[in-house]
Amino acid sequence: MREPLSIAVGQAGAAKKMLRRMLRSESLRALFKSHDELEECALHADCLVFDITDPLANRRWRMFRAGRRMAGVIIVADGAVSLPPRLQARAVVLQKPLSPDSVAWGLRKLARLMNEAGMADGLRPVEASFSLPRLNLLRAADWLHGKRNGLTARYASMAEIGPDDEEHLRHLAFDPDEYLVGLLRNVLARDERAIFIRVPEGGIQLNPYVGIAMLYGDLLDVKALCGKRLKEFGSSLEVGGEELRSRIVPGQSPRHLSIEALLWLATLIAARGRFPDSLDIAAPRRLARWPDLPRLLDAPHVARICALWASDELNAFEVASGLGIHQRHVFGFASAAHMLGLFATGSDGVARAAPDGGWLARRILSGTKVFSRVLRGVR
Amino acid sequence: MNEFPILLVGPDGGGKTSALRTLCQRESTRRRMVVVNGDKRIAVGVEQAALKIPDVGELALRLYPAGRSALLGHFLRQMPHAGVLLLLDGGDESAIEQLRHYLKQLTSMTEPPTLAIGLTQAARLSRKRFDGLAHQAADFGLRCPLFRIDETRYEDVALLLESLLLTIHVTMDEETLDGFSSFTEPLSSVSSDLYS
Repeated sequence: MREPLSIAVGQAGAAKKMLRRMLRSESLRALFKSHDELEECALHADCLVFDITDPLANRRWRMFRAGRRMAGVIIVADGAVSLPPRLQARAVVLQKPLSPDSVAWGLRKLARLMNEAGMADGLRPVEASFSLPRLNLLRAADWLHGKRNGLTARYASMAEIGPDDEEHLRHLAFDPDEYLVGLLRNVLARDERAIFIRVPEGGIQLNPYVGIAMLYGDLLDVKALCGKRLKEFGSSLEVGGEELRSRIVPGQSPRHLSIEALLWLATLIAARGRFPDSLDIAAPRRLARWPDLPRLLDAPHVARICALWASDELNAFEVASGLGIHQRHVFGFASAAHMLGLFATGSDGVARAAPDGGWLARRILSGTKVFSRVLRGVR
Repeated sequence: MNEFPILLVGPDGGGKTSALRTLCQRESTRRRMVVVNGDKRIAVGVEQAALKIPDVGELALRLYPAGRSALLGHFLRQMPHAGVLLLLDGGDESAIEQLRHYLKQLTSMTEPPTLAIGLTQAARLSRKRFDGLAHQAADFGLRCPLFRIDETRYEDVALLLESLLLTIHVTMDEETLDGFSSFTEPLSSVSSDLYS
């Protein structure tokens, strides 16, 4: 390998500037040849860069393709590029518009290809702060996410805390029993028959056996309801069985929602970036399963948090720093995941916890009762 | 290969074709790929479409035929894919057996592909069956996205694919990621000997 590294750039202005900056930052000396000198230096350059969106450079590229010269090639293009087999192992195609990340990635990949082919011992990989395929995966995921309607949360101005900051951690804990979510959790835990909750704006009917909630009234009001402390309702809040039905069911048809979706919504709104006092937020844990996201209200960064938290055992602070997001988003998600029983409970790798928390167990028990009754009838 | 392919697999009626059409309205192409199984070379007809993502590039989506599901493990070993979307009719009585069949194929590989599961026909999918399917995935040691989706609804299919890409993002090492060339390299017209 000759020193300095010779890179011939044919009519690739932006790429040339970026390459120059990048190689300088890596303390690599490079000879950059102008388009006029390309012909001459192309014979011995280690790497050639062609911006084939330029007609002249495109002609040079086609000449190079047809020739026998074996050098590393970076092709800057707008679309698909056909590569002859002999060049496939030493060519990298970068799509316009170029970015420092894409150029760094291109150099890194070229260095690897050339090292594999035993061609270069001096073209060292250039490290990008974030690899391009990884960055593009995030961009693609963002694009697919689009603009879904969901909860918005603005935590940027709020201070972040450390896992050992016990005083602040205490301030960020909330008691779910003070909110609708706590009430829902408690009534669901003790009864599997239809439950009615009367609130000033309407009512909620819970059918735990089938996992469906019926909301009477406007969903916007339900959102407001989830954020209020129960003591604010006073005597206007009633919980009961069938006897309450006639008092809360108005003429309008109800909105159906799964109980899982209602608990998710109620927890996220009550939490507002906090976490339940029963949850040790600094303890490492892992998601046993993903929530059924298409059926739940969207919240900021939820899919990213799920992906990371399902892949490894981490605490909420590590998740937030790993994703580069405000930790309040993670606390809110942790509250909702905890309420739905999504965190692994055992230390046996994949948790054997019922996917839907206690409901499945209750249904199984309920099935046993029915079975026993049938048997008693037979006897 | 000059692509970042995602493979859509699943039994007949699982919603693979609908999901592909929902994501890529553009026309798809059919390719014959040859899978070597012992002494035999078996042709597999794969439908392929490209999802154009602005400022990123093209994501190749391939649809694997249900009739060749027994060869899926061989196919993936010989033609690595960045991830797999498994789509099943959740309302089907045999959904659990079908899920087990596909998961056996996928988890038998030394390095199982990154997976996301979509259960279609959500309206006919009871909670009980959904929980049962989630248990099956847990039995195979999987913590992958498992969603009830409407395969004709863009938001649902896009969210499933988004979750798969994010799982790839956090689980796949740099070397493997680079091996797929990613989106910066557009689909080239290069044909390899994998295609007959």
